[in-house]
Amino acid sequence: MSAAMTMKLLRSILFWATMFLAACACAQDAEPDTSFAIPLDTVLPAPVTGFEASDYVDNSDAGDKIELTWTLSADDGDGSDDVLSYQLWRSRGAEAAWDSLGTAAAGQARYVDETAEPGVDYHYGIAAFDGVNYSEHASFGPVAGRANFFQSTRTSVLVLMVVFFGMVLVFTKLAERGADLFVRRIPGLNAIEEAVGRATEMGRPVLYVPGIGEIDNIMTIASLTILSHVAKITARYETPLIVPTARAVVMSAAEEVVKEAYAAVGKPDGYNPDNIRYLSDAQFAFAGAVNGIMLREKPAANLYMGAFWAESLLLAETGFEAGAIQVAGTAMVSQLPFFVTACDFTLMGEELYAASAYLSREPKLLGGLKGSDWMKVLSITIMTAGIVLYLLNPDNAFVAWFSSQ
Amino acid sequence: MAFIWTTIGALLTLSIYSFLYKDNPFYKFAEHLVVGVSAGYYLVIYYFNYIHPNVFSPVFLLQIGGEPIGFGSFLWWMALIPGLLGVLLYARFFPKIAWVGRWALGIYVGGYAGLGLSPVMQARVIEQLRANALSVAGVEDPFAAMTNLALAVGIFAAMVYLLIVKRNLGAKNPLAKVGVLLVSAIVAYAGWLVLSLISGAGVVSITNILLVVGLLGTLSYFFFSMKHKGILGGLARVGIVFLMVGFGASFGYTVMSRISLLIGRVSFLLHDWLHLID
Repeated sequence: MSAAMTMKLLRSILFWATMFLAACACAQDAEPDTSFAIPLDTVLPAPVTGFEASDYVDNSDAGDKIELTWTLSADDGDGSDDVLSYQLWRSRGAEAAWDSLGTAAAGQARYVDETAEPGVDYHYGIAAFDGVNYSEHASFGPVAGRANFFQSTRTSVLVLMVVFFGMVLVFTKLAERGADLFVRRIPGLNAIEEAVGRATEMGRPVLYVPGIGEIDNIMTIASLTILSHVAKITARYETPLIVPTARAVVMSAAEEVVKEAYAAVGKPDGYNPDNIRYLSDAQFAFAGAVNGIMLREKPAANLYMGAFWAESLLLAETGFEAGAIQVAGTAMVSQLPFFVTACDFTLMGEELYAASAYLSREPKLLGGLKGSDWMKVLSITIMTAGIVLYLLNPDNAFVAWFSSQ
Repeated sequence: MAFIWTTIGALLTLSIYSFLYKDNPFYKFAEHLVVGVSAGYYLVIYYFNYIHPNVFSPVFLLQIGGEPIGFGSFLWWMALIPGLLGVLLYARFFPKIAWVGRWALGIYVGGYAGLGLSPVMQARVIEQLRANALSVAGVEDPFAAMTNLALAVGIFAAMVYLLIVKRNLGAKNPLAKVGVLLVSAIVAYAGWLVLSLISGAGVVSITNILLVVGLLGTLSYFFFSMKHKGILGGLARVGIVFLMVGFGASFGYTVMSRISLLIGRVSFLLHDWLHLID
């Protein structure tokens, strides 16, 4: 067969094939096949069961929240699996008209109405929705929100607070009666005395920074107690003590503390009010000014005790560069790494308060320290019991008591 | 005009950075400028943000947030009394009546402490206890949970043992230290693998176990009523190891954020001021 004949044959086949396909397409246009049409959904989803509403209690309970709970429709994730959402309604009485309240997604069995008026009786309704049909309506009522005087879900907080303060009071009373309450020596305290001694030998001042916290900050209060201890040492050694502050009230409190300390060791004339300075409320202006003091007045010992934020590393690093011996103490966890890195000794976290109690032997401080110590023992006991009890039975009442908080 | 302010900002930035070389007149000028400006700035801020809207406006202009209030009304008294307490703070400048200032301070500190009690106990004690009590057993399968508990106890005991043995052998014997460390690590790892295989479910998270061990050790470190000797000393040493690891991570994280601040200033100098980069 020649090539020309072959091409002719192929063209013929192609022509008739095209004609056949075109005829098929026309036939389909003429008689549409309706067998693939989506049937109209006329089946209702299974209704919600166990629908309940109750006053919701939380941390800021003003009586304006009502919690709705229900058991999922049998068609939600199961059965015919066609529930898209749950529609919620609310009315102000059994016979009153229903208002749309909101929608909960499929799989969700809880909704908190945060728009209730306290003390008003409400009825709530719910129905599962499959995109076309609503299930049978379930309702509950009346229920009213009310502000709760006692938040029952936080009973464990109350119990632990009572136990803690009970221990604090007992230890405080014991300390007031002269009982010898042991507090171990904090290594950083020895370092403070060494630092002041070194400054005295070098004939240079001691710099004491009480942080940039306000006077209501417990770290500032602890710092002032340690300042009193330091001021007594500097008064004895007749070493200048510079105290820069970032808060006006802290400055006046520091003035009183240092003045009393100098008087207590019989050196009232050694007190120099010009050395207790207010620099600035602005964090970095304060840091810059303290850095200036370090470089120009060249203190041989820098003590940082109190609440510090981002200025901590600026201060400690400059002091390190200036060659001063440095002791820091703070309960600001985020700043401790910088002090640990750049200072010779650091009082970490609660050591600051312990140092304060250790130095002053003040019954209230000792009571607080001993109380918190035994609270730690109690915490370890509760934690261990919680682990064991949970392993034995994850639904035990003890764990549930904490988990419900 | 904008260029002048940008230039002033850039020169002040360079003046502050000149501190990296050594203390100098440019740094001194910038330092004193920022201290002085901040004093004036904060005076204005404090007045307009606190004193004027909370005291002056309600007491003298009889307005709160633009809404009128009655003279002698509850809200009026609620503005006047704290205002007077604030004034009492300045009594310390007059030695004869300085003690009056302590009333205001007492109410301030007491009120703050009272408001903070419940949330602090909730967030810092109860929540921590709850999270740590359950985290070791964070699996449904009780047997797998038991392996977690066994692992926790094992690691804890190994660390305490390691520290006690290390002390007994003496710190001068590095081979003994390394040997004990290796043996402890191998035993802990082997125990973990065996328990995982036996349970079939595997150990869910070693992180949770380390968390509980770290918490127990750290709490022991901050126990001040006994000397850190014997078992308590061992526990405290475990705690300090965890603390230092935590501090190291925190340090690195913060250094990263400080580098981003440096990049911001360099960008200001090269982009906003000199237009050298886009």
